[in-house]
Amino acid sequence: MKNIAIIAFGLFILGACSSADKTSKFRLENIEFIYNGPLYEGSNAAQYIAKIDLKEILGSDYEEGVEIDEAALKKAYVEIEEPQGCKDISAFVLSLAADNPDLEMRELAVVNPIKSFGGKIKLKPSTSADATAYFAEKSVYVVLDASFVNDIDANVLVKGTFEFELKY
Amino acid sequence: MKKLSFIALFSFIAILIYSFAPADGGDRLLGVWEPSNGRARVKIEKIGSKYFGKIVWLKEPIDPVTKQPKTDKNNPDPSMQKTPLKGYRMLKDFVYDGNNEWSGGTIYDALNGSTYSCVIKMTNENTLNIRGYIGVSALGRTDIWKRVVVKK
Repeated sequence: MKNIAIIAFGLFILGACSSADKTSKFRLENIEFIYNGPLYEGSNAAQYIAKIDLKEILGSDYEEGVEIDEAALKKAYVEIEEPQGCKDISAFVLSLAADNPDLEMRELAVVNPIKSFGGKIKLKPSTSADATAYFAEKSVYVVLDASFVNDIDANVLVKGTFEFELKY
Repeated sequence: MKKLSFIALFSFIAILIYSFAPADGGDRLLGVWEPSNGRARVKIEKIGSKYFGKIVWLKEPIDPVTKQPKTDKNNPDPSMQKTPLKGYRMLKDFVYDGNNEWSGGTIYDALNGSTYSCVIKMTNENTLNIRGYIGVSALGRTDIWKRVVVKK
């Protein structure tokens, strides 16, 4: 009898945990980062302001008062669009920042060194960086730092696609 | 009529004085700074309304073991230990409080991978007191940073 009670309690807890979270994906696709030249050797930053609108992100699943319980970056890649054939970047670091004084900047993904150019460059998402708090903001700064190995007298255009998994 | 003209003139002069007055905003922090040990230079930039400082120069940029540019090998997150140290934001999230003080931020020590609360006080246009601490500001250490391109 005692065993049955324990199993029933276990199943109840399991059921409660599994039904609590719904999952959705938030994708920032082909967003543009422009590094205005002349660019000097070393790290240069470009940023994109992403609007966080849960109504838009969650679509038909949106309910008034819904909050994101967990947000993690799952995929991140960038492409150097201009100048064509540019191989003067050795590393990229992706971070999020916000104006909210209680929210600290977080590095979310990195690639260093870049092993092959001429297509999508994959960044490795951090296994522990938590992006949840950013999804309570109205907008966030998506910062892409590029490490240039040479000085370049040109503008550099990089496009990035980043996918977050959201639990709510 | 004379009174109205006087008010208009006074307002015009006040606006003029305000427009040409030196900015007392937090942007005076922007620029390149060198800590007292001289081992690095840090460029302070603004993202949104907050201030961040990234390493732009290292006295010893090459790791003596790997013979490659140094990375953030002491980062507590192992998946981010390949982040280049040159370019790393060691000062993060500072907000200008007025009275030559920026607070609410953190300072990262790449030598041990530790992050401390931090407050920045500008003592003159070319000198910063950077105080890192754990818990309360009284229990901390202050370093003096100098502006690399001195403002006269």
